[in-house]
Amino acid sequence: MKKIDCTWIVDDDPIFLYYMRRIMRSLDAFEDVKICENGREALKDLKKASKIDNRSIPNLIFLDLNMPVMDGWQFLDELQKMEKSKDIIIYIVTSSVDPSDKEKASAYDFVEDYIVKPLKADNLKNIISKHINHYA
Amino acid sequence: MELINCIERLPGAVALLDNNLKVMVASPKWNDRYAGEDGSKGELISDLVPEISDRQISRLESCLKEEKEVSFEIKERGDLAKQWCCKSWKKDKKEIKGIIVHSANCSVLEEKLESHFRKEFLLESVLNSINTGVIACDKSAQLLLFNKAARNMHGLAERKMKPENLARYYSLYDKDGKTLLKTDEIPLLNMLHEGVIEKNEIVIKSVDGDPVIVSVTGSRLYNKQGEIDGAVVALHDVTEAREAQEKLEISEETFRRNFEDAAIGMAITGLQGECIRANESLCEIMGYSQEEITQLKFQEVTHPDDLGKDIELIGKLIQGEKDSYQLEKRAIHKSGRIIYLNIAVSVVRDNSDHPLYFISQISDVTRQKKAEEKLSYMLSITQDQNERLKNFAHIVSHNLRSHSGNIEMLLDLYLEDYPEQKRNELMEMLVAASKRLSETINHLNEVSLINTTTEKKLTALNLRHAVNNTMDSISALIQKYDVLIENEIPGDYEVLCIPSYLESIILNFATNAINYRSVKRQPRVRFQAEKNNGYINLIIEDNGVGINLNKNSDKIFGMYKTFHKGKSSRGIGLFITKNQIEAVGGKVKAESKVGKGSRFTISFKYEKN
Repeated sequence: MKKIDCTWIVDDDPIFLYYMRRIMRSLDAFEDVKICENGREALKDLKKASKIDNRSIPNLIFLDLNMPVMDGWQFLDELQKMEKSKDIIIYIVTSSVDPSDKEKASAYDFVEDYIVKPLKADNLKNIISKHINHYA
Repeated sequence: MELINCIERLPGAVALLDNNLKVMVASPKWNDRYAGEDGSKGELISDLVPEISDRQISRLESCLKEEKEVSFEIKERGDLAKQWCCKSWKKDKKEIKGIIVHSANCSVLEEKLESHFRKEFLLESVLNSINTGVIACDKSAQLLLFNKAARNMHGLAERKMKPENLARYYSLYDKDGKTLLKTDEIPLLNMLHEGVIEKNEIVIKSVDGDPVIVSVTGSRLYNKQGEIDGAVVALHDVTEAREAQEKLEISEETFRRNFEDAAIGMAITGLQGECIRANESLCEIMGYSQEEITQLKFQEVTHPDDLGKDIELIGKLIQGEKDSYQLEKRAIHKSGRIIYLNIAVSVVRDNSDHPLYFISQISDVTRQKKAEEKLSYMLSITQDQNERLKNFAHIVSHNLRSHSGNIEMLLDLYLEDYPEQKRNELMEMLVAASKRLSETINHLNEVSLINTTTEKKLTALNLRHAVNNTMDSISALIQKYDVLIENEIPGDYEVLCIPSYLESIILNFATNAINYRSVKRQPRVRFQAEKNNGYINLIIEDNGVGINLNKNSDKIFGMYKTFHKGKSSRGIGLFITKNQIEAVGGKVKAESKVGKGSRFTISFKYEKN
């Protein structure tokens, strides 16, 4: 079965990361999963990856908004400035239910959706099916 | 020949003529006047004085015929007339031998006459051209003089009449304008008889005009012998002056009273800012006595930071750029404390527009100002606290959400790992608690969001449609309990609201009505609307179990208040609803009777306001 090549999770909450790893593993649709604990780390790794090859650049990023060092917004702004050799699809996964956050997120054209935590297995299945044809 | 010698020595101009009217002898002055260096002896009088007329010649000749004296005037060279006095001369007192002629300078008399005439003419012209009425009478009180001004004042000319009729005929009244003058009170007669004028201000009610107020002066007239020969009075029209004076007195009095008794402070200040007068109210405001305050300049009691503006405005008044200004300024009370004043200053100018002084009206607005300051301080505190509260609610709900979400996720994972635990009673309770925690946090979020979306724009929404649409969305519930829905809202009522709020508000009241239906009767929910005081009231009435408002009135819209153990009682509904109503500028009121039903009145703003 086809899998999503490269997926990054940018979040500082260990419980959420543990949960995501578990659930992603159980769904068996992700080839390569990488964890970044904040925006700066993700940005650094992304710059590194773009020097290696396209395969190292993520197809999907699950991005938290509230993070130390560099938050999700700052990461999005940096990402917008970067020249990308590959389309990166971002899902914002956050605890914030503030409509203004949702609105702000929709202003970035590479942000696919705004998901309020908890991210349930069913939600994740829907996402996968959008990116892999014939995913059951 | 004594006469001849005598004539030659006479100082006057004298000549002696013979029977043929030739000069026999003349005095040096005569010769000076009529003859050349050769003298006049033997000259015919008509040659010597060509100005003499034939008639005068014949008069001279008449003196030769009989003894007599004649005199006449001769206009001679130049314009000086001469009076000739001629007398028959009898020699030795027997027969007439000639005429003695004396030529006298008569110009003094003539000038006297002429100047007398001029004076009279002048007097008459003056009398008729002045505004002062002049009336004179003789000693028997008969009118002699009544000049033009006097005629105008009375509207009547002079007429002979008995003194006792004068007052009535000429409408002469006391200065009260009501009492007719007694005969001896008439100034002219008073002056004539007593030498005084007791009523020196009288009113003449002229026939064809408004009453005239006149001030009277006068004097007695005497004849050469020093006897009283009459009297004269002068009448001065003082009507306008009196009226102006009266008006001035009225306005001065009004101003004085306004000034003294005004509830607000008033002051008259000079151009240098010195206080000329101040009323009691101002003294009270400033804490100074009358005496103290008039020693002060306004500059001395104005707060230094506010003085500049005040002086600038005063300057504009003096320059004539403005006639008045208003200003709120701080001043210093005698005790040293700062007071807030609202002042209105206007300038008073003289006839040539030069500023004379300023009139200021001063009210003490310290209390209002303090209240305002306190209010704005309170408001800023409240705003600050509200902001902090919002942030707090936001952070709390956000952070709580992530933790409760995590607990939920972890429980899911745990039960996936240990599916047999699903039946464990403790586990079941833990899952339920986690769910409720998440729910509560969701509610908190909803509430905190209502408060942050109030700035949203309101749209006009048709109330009847909104109710119909909402009822459609709960048609299953309506059918299930056989609820009678009555929508009696007029089709054209529009309220200002946020669409999702309006739906949520209607939904909440409707589901509450259904949830708390009475089992004793068919549930009924009635929607009505009315316009009232700029609001549209939506009235939602049910026949359910009702709420005891005596016990619960202050709790009904509180958070987490439930009054019944219904299936969907969650206690957050009315709280959120109330918040939503208030967020769109509305109000809600509850009426209820236990066992009868409830009635909620929701007031929305509508388009027109």
